[in-house]
Amino acid sequence: MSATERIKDIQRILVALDASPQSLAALEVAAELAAKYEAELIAVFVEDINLVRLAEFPFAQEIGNFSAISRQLESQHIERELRAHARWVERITATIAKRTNLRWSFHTTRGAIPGELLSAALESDLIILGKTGWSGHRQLGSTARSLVVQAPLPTLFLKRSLRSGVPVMVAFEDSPSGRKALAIARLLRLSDNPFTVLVLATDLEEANRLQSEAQSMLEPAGILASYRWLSDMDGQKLARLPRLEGCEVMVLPADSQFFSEDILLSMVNETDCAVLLVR
Amino acid sequence: MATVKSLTHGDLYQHTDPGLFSFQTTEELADFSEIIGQPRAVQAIQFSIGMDKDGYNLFALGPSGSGKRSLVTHSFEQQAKLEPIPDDWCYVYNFEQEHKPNAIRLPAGKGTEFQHDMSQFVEELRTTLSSAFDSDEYRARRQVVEEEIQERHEKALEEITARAKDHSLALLRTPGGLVFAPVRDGEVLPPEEFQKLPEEVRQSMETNVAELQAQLQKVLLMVPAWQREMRHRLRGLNQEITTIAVNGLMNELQLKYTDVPEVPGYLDAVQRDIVAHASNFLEIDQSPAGETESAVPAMTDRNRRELSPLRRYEVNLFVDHHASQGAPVIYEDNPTYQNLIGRVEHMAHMGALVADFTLVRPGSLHLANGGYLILDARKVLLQPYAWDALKRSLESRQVRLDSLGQMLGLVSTVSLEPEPIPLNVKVALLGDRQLYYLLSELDPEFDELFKVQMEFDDQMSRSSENEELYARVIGSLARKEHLRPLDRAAVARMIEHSARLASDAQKLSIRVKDIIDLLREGDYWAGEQGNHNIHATDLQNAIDAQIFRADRLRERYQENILRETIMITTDGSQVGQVNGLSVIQMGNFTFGIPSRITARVRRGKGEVVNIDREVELSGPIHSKGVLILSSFLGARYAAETPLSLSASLVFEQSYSGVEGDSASSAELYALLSALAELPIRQSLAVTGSVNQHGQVQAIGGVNEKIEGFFDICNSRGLTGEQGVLIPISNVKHLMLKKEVIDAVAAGKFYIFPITTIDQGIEVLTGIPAGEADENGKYPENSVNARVQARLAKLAEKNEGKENDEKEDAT
Repeated sequence: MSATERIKDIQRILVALDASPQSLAALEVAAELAAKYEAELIAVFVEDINLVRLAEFPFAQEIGNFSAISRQLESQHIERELRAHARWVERITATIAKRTNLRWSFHTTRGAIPGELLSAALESDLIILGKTGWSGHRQLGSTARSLVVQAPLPTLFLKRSLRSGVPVMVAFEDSPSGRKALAIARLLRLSDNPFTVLVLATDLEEANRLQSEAQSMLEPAGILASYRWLSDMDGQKLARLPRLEGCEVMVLPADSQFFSEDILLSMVNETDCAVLLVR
Repeated sequence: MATVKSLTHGDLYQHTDPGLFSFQTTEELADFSEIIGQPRAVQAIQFSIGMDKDGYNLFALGPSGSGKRSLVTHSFEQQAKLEPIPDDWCYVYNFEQEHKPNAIRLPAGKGTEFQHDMSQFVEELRTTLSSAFDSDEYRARRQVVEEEIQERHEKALEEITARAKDHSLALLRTPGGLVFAPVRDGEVLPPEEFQKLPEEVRQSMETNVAELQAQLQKVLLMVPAWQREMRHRLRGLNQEITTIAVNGLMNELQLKYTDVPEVPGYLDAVQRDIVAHASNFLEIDQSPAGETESAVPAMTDRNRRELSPLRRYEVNLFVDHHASQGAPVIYEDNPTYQNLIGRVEHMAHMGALVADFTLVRPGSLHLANGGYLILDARKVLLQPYAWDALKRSLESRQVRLDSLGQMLGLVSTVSLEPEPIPLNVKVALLGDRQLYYLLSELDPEFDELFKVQMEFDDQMSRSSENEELYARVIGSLARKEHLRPLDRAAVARMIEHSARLASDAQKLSIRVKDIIDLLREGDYWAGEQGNHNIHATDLQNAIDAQIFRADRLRERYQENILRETIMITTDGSQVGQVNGLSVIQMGNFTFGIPSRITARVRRGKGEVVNIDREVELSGPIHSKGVLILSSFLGARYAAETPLSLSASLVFEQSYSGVEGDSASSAELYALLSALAELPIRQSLAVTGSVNQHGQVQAIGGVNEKIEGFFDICNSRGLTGEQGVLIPISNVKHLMLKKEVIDAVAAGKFYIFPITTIDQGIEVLTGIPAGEADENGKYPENSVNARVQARLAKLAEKNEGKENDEKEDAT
């Protein structure tokens, strides 16, 4: 199955939930996309095994995020908290799914979050998750971090809900994941959004070739994109681009020859816009 | 004594000779814009208008339809044109006390401008603020503040995390907080393995954790303070940006309104308020964005605008004179409390009713401020609290807008107390005379506030100059009403009818309403006939039709008389029985009918029993008449002897009460006839009241009464015997209909002007009344002699009887 064929259809969308505002935004976007592609929405809540373990340490004390009061951690308490969270998230999922009339399912698993998510994602076509967890800090959450590195399928990292009609930017290069990125960007594109293709090529000749290839893919779909040639790239510069161009969604090939994992990480970390990594 | 001569047909109707008019139709006549026949009223209103002292308001009193409103309105409007346009008034938000909106006075026309400028300002404020807060400068500065605090937080946490890492510990997040845990290779150490660690390692780990926890607690305790600091700095930033953004807009307004006293102060307050509430605007400008925008129904959008924090900078243009010319003249046809002094409307918001300064609405006192207000006194009095509110406003010279519900304690929601507005208005109340006198008597403040009494007449004298003037008035009215012009015969007929309406041949009715009605109806008939002008016949048709529409009851009465259900005889003679005449008024229609009055006498103790009074069917004036005639009887015929008579008088077949003394002469005739045992001619009917000296006095409705009897006689066939006795003082009131005049001219009907009872009884019995000689003796066979003899006889018998009784007792 070629890369382009593989993403012709998005049938299952997996959303990772942890009750943080960002993951709720992720849920909204996932539900919206699921409705658009008539896909099934799979919501996954992972009970973090690390947290459950914590309680078994004799000295484990939880310092309240807001109150700064220390409390003895008990495994029962932790489990109850996690269950309550799961139920709460499930209720929200049900509400949203009902509103958009979706096929949906809700799964709770226990284990290390990245591993559990990846195994749950095996049958899905797209993963959607919040960039940071409920810590609310600017640093990329640990879950997101491991998915940037490991996710085998398109993964959308979000910070907030997407607005309709927002500009989309896609990095296109001469590789299978580059083509896949363009294909999925074409698919995800909401009507009449400004569409920018960043052509990643070492020389002008290649850039022109890639541009015409991209045009031949996009124009039949009625997409008039603007094209920019980038030859040399670092994470900071890439991260600035969306802000300069005012784009909301950035589609990047994950295993690009043009940028390393570190650049990808800082890219996902630094930009305000949503990043869709395609492998 | 000479026999009474009946009136000739010339006395019965005062014609207006069309030939004396200088015009053919009223079309030729110039408009008559003044008011006819009301010199008193005209002077009063001119005085009131000219008098600018307090309390010289006007009360126009007169019967309805006398043209009070049109005269007052016309005079006020004439004057108002010459007066300056009063100021505009606006209500604005009171930044110190929200529930007491401030009133601002602006020169006429400036109010609209000010309102427009402020709404423009609000509109621009939106965009200016949103672009200011959207600017890169603001965003960058905001980010600097936010990031500084965020960084401070993160740096502290990072330090702790780093220190923890040195001790092989990790800082983990639980749903509720933060926990330190031993880690190996990025994974939490399984507790079993932890147990396997040497005792001292575990110990030191625990101490480390305790230490780190303490540090963490310190950091977390700082967070709220940092956030407060951030908020404070952000607020400062917002205010700085707002001040800069608003300044530019504000300066323009300040310059423009610098010479209107209260506006600059208000604008300063607005600026301060905007700066203080900068964050509110941020919210409204941020909230509407987002993907749901298109899905938001228009309703919500409206709500958002209504409750927008910017609403308070709008201006409620309360009284607007931008299109006015001269001072206002307002006629308030529904003078309720709220329509007079204004009201505060409420709108529903989240299930509660709320009010703000934009919902304050003016009353007619506000609208008429600086000008003239015309009110119907009866309507004001009928509306609860309206009269008090009007007086209070006039007294205090300001309009205070108190909510009625609030005043009565019926409503306890938050309400408004708008700043009172100074009042300078001339008020004219329109009402009937009775109302004026009642108010004047019962309301002590009334005379203070309505010092000018504007009396309206309902008639004027019928001189030939006035007739000419009247013709012009008729012509003007017809023109104003877009009616056909009247030819001169019609004008003459109109004048004659007007005299009839005034019930006086020498007067003209100036009740404009009646005149206009008749003109309109005459015009209708002229249209029916295809006449180009209104002819006298058209007016006659209109009058006949008016009567026909109203005279169902009269017809029924006459029918009952003709079928002898009601017994009235119009020929032959009868003792102790006379035809009296009464009038019945049904709405605007008055008609006369004859009534049979009978008297019976017997021996008694000197009383004249009024049977109607015994059963309370007699009004006080009627009873008075009866008492007067019994006094006349006693004084004239039994001055020296006791009046040993018991007489009873009754209006036969009267079932609904009798009022008025116009039948007292008839009653006296019946009584005299009964006493003298002389029959009275039934072909005659009598009207007139009588005094203690036997003089016959004027009565009302003489025309209707004569016509009422004539109609009956005419229906039965005139015998040439029939007629009516009227007081001589009523002759000048005669404006009889044509049939009567014709019958009199043909000698088939007579109208006798009567001065005294003696004249009357002579006409009725055909026997002279007789004059007393120096001894008080009447000529033999005269009526009076017979009466005297009869009374003496009754007295004698009475005395005899009393003596008999006395003898029996001894």
